[in-house]
Amino acid sequence: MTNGYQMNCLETRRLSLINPQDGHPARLAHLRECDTCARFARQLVAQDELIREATKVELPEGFAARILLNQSLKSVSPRSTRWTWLGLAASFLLAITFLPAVIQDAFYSPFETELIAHVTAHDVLTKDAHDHMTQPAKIRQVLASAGTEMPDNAGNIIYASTCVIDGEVMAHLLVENGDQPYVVFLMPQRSVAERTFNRANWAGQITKINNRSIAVLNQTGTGLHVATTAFSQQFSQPVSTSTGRTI
Amino acid sequence: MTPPEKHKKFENLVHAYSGWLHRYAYWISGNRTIADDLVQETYLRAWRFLDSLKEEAAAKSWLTTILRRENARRFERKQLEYSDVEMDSLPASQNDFDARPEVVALRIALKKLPATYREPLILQVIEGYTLEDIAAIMSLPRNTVATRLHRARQKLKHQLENDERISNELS
Repeated sequence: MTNGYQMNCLETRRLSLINPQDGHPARLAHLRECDTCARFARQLVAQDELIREATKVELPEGFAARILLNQSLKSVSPRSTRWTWLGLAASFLLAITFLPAVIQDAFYSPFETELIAHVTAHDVLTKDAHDHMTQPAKIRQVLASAGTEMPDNAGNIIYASTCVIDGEVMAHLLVENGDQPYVVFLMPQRSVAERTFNRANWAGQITKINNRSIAVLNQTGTGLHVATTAFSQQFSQPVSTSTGRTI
Repeated sequence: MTPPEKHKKFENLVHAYSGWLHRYAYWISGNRTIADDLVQETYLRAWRFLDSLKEEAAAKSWLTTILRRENARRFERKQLEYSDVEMDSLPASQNDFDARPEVVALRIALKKLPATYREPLILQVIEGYTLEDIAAIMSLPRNTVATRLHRARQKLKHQLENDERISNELS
């Protein structure tokens, strides 16, 4: 609806320059009747299309993983003392109230539960693992995000992904070693107490290396120590990340 | 928002918008390394204030505004940390870009365009922001944005026509 308003060439071109896709009815009506202005508008639409092509910039490899890693490195924010004390008081009351449950749960750390839930969600060991095969370049990128490199004697890494578990960015790997597939989590920012666990059909071993940790899991419980040793040797070497930070 | 929810929300923002932010950062800063840093700083700031983002639909504009402010901060301290880098002098890998002559010509023309004209054009053409959105992101009156877009397209068109005329004369 133009409501009788007739746009002249000057105004039509002005609107076309501001936005060649402008849907003003009077402009569109003018374009239907004026070949010169219609050609002018088409040129601008084509120019916009070229701008879309010309401004494409290749995203650096592993850019999203680097952002997530950077955030996990820098987001440790100090809490106010007041809230810390309130939290401690609340924890104390809860501990007294639910002491029996707390003692029972001590054997099943929530962190292990998170790891097992994550592995189960990925479903990489129960389905055909080769459906999930990851390219070597991606594997190297995931390992670099965790501040490490490909270990020499750890078996064949067939799947790798940078995941966030329990608020931490970590490398999640699936390794084939003969008939003993196992899952490895490399945690560049988390220091977890060393322990072994066995629950929900998963056996695991968590090892601490300085301020980092490694968790190795499988469903048979065998070979965990060998796998842990292989990854620990590589993971204990400080490596410069792509952001230039040594971790 | 619980910590896992916050992490999930943040991860979604990174995967959804880091590509756009990097492209925008490159075209307002003129330098890949600075663009990388700007996006990293943008997400760090976004993480700190993530609780203030109430509507998912507003996330892209929110992040774009943060990035713009980070870029402005860069200029406040640039005498110490950055040197001015002319976009024309930037090395561009052949693999990164479409090498058709008309695209290359347009890229050169875009780099010659003053940043005040280039920025609203990028926001409108690449991401389809409206005049009102761009006015809000750039903290400018709507009419000023309209004038800048008008001049940006006019200058680009003249530049390309001029290039074509010279090319025809030479051949």
